[in-house]
Amino acid sequence: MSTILNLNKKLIAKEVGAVELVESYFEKITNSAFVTVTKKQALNAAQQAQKFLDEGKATLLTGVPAALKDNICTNSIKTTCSSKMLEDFIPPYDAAVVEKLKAQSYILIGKTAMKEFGAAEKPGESGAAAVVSDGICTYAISSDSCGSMAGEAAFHGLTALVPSYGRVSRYGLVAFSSSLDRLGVFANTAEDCSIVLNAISGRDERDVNTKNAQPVTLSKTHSLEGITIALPKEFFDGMSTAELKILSETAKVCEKMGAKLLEYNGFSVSRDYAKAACMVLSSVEAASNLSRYDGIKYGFRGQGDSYEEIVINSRSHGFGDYIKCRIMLGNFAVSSDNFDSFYQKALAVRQQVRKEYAAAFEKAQIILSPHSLSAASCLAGLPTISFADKQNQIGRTLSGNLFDEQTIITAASLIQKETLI
Amino acid sequence: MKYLPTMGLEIHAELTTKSKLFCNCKVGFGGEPNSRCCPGCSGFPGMLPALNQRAVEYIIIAGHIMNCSISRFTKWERKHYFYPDLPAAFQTSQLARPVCLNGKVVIATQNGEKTIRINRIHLEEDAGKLIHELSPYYSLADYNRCSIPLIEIVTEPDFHTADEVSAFIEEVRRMLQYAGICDGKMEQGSLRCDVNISLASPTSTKLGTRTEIKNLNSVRSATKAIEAEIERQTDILESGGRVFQQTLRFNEAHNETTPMRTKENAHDYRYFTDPDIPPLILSESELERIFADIPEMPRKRLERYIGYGISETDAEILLADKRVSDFFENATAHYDNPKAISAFIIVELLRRVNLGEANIEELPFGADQFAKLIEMGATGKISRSHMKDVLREMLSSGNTPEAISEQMGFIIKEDLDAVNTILDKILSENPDVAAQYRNGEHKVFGFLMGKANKALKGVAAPNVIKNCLEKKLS
Ligand SMILES: [Zn+2]
Repeated sequence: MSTILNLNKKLIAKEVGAVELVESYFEKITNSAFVTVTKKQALNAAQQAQKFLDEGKATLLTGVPAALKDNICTNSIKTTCSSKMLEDFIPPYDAAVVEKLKAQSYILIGKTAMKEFGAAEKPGESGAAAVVSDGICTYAISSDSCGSMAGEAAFHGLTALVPSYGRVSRYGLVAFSSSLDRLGVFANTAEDCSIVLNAISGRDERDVNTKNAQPVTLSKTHSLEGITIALPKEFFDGMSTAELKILSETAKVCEKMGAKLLEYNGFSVSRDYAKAACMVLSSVEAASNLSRYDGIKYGFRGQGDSYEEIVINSRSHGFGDYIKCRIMLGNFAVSSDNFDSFYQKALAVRQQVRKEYAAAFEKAQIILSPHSLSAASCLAGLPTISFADKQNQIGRTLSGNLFDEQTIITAASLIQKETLI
Repeated sequence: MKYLPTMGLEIHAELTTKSKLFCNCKVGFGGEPNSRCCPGCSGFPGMLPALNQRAVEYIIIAGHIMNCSISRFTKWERKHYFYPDLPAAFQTSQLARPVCLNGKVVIATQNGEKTIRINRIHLEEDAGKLIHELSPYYSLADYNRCSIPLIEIVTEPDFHTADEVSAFIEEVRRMLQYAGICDGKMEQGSLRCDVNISLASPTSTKLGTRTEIKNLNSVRSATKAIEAEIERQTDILESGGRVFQQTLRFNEAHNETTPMRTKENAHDYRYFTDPDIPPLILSESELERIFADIPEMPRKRLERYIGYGISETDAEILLADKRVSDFFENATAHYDNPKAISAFIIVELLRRVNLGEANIEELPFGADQFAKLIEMGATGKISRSHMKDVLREMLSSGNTPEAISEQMGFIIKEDLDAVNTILDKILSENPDVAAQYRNGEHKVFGFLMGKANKALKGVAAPNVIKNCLEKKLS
């Protein structure tokens, strides 16, 4: 398994050249996880990266092959969101994350396939996770709205970091559900996730919800002393024996490293309603965000003799069935007849979920949960790191308080070093 | 049977901020289509709004001058509908928590002052424009206007005549212009209004069914539309029919209101809080800072002008156009004689403007030079009749009044010897009159003054002549 750190060492030591490395990666591409493969750009970028390396200006990400989910805008490179609606769309701008990665002379191998427009993915549907899992890229920038990245991490045995809402600029991320959308990282280790996080986070005036944050630093100690990990009873109830086993083991490892374990009660709303609320809110916002695709300005245009006909045909044929369902669901939930009984209720759940987490963080710094219950942390915009080993596809998710990526990444990294690697 | 109309108004005013509401594109009028738009205001994927703080300041100013209370907590909603001039297919607007609430504006009507209550003022973005004229087969969209900041001023149903409505539009337009937040150019669409009207039968206090006339873009068309709609509703009621709640547009050519398509009447806009724009919390100190910089409102200026001894009619003439009023203010700053300056602006300068000989926006001289001209006239450096000639020359050449007067030989030389010689001659020719004066018949002074003025025209100013003559007679 090649991590960012390994590759960086090899590049610095000149065991391998940047161009040579990139070429070897392109030889590996066999699957259909990519929508667009950017070989030409990658080779040019590799030459630039080699210059950085030779001049001693390289960072940890310089020359390291990466992938971007295809809802992240790339200047002059197609950004399709895996939708017929945008199958030929070439943005004239880079997303903020792309600007930041370019500044470090990263290597873009390609844009990865996704569930159309980023509607919740079932494990195995994310091209971004697949290419990291297959070793075609060392890491991938993906996005998450309702917790799908945790599921992918479990499915592929990867590490997925979803940072706090507002830590990474969404400028240039094609919006699905604005209040839930977050850019995250698939990588092989928590440590690699922290490297990418440090590269892409920070205040961006174009995304007014962003804030600056201290970079994450991983110390060399092997201790979780002073950390309390909450084990919410509500989340553990109803888990399968296999899941329970993995989570208990994880808890024990943490305890061994000095963490205090806390049996916790107080997540009943998060357990019972978070998933449904996430579905309602993301659908409402998606219906709104996706209404701009009318076939007039750009993207797929359907036939028609009038504006109405063009819009109807563009949207009928440009969107796939599932995304159309979500649009209908969203419009239904926010229509004046249903606003109070669906949308308002979902907002109330979100409020309640935030309260449940806030109360828990009074007593603990980390909340341990199975990967399948990520919707709650998504509603609260909390940072999560999920990881699994390749064999059993059972993920653990560590959630931290807002902007406290430091604690969960440190813990995840220590657990990984202790158990997986 | 006479029905009582009751009306409410929604005024949309474009703010004259430098950039648009959510992006850095310039705010402007005219020019190449789609030359002032970017991926943000064109609804491209992945773009995010960043609220223009200046626009927020401007609406706070609008609220303050219209006596509204300013909300400390305010937020934005998305209003959804498909239309080709709306690239994101939603308009960012304010529904639940507008910036301004519960204000009032005083207007002058034929029956004296009347207070119109303001329900709310909120901040939203404008839509683009469609161009249909170029082809019968297609329309083109121009996004230059997309996302220009717009305030919507909503009144209570406090109007009962078309005159009150037009007085209100004029007053609001003037206030916004004086505050420097909207240019008020209705012909360019920077101020537009919607009127809702219902008629109540004289025997009932209950209001009738309300209709709304959209997009009136001049005071004149608002007045005519209201009259036409009152007539239409009256006809319906008198013939025993029912008025339906609907949205109308005004057809100026036919002088009638016609319904818009029913689709637009039954729209569910699916409003919800915009997740990309955080709610705004306004602090007391921020508001104080904004209030402190608000320029003087026209009604305050009116009081001040009347205090200078200018008649109310004249003061209103000066105030009707902010540029004129500002010119007046500048001129008085250079020469403190508001009455003389106001009189000459109204009698001469505005006459030239109305004749198309001058443009108040592009005068070839400054208010300081204009003030100089008034001062020369008032202190007798040149005669009053020559002032007009000098002004005309200033308009064509842009030269200073001194240079022009010198060149044209208008400067009154105060040659006292010459004055005394002539006066001696007049007195010796009219010994009886001089004697009458010396005997206390002071009314004959005018006769002598008249002769002197005539003889000394261009030699000395009347006040100089008067002084000399008085000395000789005493
Ligand atoms: Zn723009």
